[in-house]
Amino acid sequence: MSKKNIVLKSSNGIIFEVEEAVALQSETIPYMIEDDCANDTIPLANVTGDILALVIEYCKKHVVVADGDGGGSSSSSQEDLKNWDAQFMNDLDQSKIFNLLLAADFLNIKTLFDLTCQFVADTMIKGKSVEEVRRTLNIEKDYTSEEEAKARQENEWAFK
Amino acid sequence: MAIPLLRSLMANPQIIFSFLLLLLFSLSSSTSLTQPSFRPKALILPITKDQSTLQYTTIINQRTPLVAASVVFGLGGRQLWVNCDEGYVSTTYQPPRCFSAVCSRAGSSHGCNECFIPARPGCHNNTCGGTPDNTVTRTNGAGDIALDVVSIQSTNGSNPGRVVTIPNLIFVCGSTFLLHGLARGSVGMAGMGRHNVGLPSQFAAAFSSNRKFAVCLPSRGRGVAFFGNGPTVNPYTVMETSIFNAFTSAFVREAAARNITRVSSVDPFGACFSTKNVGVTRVGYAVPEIQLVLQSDDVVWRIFGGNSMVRVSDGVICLGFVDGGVYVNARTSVVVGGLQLEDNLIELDLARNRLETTMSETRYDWSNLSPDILRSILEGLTSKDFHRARAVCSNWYTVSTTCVRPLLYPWRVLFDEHSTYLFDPGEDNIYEIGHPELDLFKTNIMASCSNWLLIEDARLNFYLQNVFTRERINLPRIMSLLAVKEEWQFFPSEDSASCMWINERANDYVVAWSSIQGYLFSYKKGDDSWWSHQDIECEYMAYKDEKLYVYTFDRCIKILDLSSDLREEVVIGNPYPNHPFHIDSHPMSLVITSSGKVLIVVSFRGYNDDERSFNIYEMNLESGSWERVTSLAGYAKSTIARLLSTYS
Repeated sequence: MSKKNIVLKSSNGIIFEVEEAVALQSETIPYMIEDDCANDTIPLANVTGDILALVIEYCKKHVVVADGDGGGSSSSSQEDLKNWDAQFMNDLDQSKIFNLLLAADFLNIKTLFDLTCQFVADTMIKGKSVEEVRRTLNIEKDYTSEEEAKARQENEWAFK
Repeated sequence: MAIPLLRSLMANPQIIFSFLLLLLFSLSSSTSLTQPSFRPKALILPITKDQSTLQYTTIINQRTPLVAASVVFGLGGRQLWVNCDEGYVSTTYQPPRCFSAVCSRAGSSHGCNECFIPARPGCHNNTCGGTPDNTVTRTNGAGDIALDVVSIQSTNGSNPGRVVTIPNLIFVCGSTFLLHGLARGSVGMAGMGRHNVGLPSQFAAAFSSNRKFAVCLPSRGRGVAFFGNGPTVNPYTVMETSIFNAFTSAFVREAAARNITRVSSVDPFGACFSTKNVGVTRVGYAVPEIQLVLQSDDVVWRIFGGNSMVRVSDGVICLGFVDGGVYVNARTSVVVGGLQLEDNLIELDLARNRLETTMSETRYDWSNLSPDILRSILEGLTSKDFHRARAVCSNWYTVSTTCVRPLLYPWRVLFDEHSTYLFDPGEDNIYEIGHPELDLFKTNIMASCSNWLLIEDARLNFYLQNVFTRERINLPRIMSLLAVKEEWQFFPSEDSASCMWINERANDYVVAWSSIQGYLFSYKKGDDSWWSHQDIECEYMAYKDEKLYVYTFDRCIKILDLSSDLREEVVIGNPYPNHPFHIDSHPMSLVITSSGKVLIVVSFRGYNDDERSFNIYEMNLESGSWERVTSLAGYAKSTIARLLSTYS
């Protein structure tokens, strides 16, 4: 199997060269290759270098495991990968998580997108009161008191 | 004086600092302004908010003779553009020559524009073109770059000063169609972008003043934009000593926890650090975040590294807050400085003594995530968290209504005299909700679907009730239909089969039940009254896609089409009538697959009394015989969910 490299360029001009298999976990990149919107370098106008570095780190880790054991990865490596994912997400601050979410969405990397969404759900929303969620995510309350009361009343049991 | 409240410093990774913030918008009162060649300290533009579009508008006095042109104030726009197609009359309008310095300053390298009609503002030969941009509708046009006179009010910082004139302000000619979407009466947009031809840059260049601008956007009434030295009081936030000490030590402690090394202080700052272990993020240095809690706990102004830290030398950064002594002044314990304001859009509502800030767009805004992303996050929440998240803000609520939340497991609903208990097996949790309107000893719960129950009370009233919200939908009385019969025949009994289906989003529902006398009643939303179907001896029923599937006493499946006005039985296209099911005397239910096939679920008692197991049967359409389904692999998730829910 010949290994081809793909060059990705972040919005702030940082160049990353990665193996094709790593890059092709993104379902967006193949279209960019086909569209020939890139001869050598694929410009990713929506992703900054620090975030692209994270995306690549994730894709590298995941491509290695998919390769191992001839396709069917063992349960222990699945377990390892889960732990790795958890650690990977835990090391990020909120702004990185936010931008990683946008990048995973734009690049259409389903597993990373799901991982990030679930991480946000589990660590920033789960088990928190409405006020705590607003504070955690810096969201301003834009309801009037009546509207909020109505939204709460629809499922009053959930607020106990 | 407000006493600062420091809370949860140990538990929280951020420093949360709560105090009553009184922001003084004190204009400095310097009076020595008479100089030979007049250089205004600052320029001001009035800003009003258009209440119907919620756009901010300003007035630019332009042309000769002067015209007060109302334009939309656009923070992100590249330059000023006005409509030249209609009503532009000016003796001082000048088209710059193509490839001239003005054209290159305006960034126009498109070559030369030609005009094929008699020359007028916006249409000249040998001039250069620009792109007027309507940032509201995100529409671009093309038009001539032009110069004309603009006059603008100056200020000495506290009082309005004289009106000053810029003889050749660069702008772009727009067209009438570009005005679409702008506030009524506007003839263009004033772009405040950072480009060379943005208004802040041009004003600064005209008077050699600072290329700075500040805005006070009104929520009602009038606001103002300052160009040049605005009325910022201090470069850094000044805190009263006791607050400063508490604040600094909390910050230092958090920094130490992140392995950030403190170095000796540099005047005027109290806390300085080595950048060695400090990362850089999009919002500046990765240092502990500071939260200013404003008028209520819900309103928090978060200050990140970019606004909290000052780089004083190579490798050294300092916390940009300074000690103001025991009294900063008689009225305020904290005065927010310019560093903390930079890049934040400030909305001052002086009438309500409130400060509202919006972080600039490059920061992250969880409330306005794209619906796809937000939906995916919300769908990852458990039911309880999901319902709470909907109350966070209006956009989350809106998006949540489009979420698909497949409840792949049934909730157990247990009733007792006072409460309903909801057991969510996914969370292994029980919620209790009151049901004061629901007297379960006097009512008969006939069927359920989603959050709703079909209920019959002792007076033969039928209604649907949402167990969560207690919303109630009354169904018509059944008596009118049966005036001539003896009514007892038509009471639903415990042996009656019944079913209901409801789609809350579409506000649509169907209910059906059978009496032991061989009547089957159905009611669909919008019907005037109940429909009765005779001679259908129904044992079990299920509803899907406007069809009612009935398992009759002779073990065959009949199908009623509820979509037509006639409510007829489907004869052609029903493969089931002559193929009776072969197993009797076990509790059964019907489940209809996504493609409209009937599954019969038979449940058995297991080896232990509290164990049950079930078999599923499907008719082989070719042979007409009922066969046991051995794998659910080929079925849609929604079908499996329905199967599971019949078993609860």
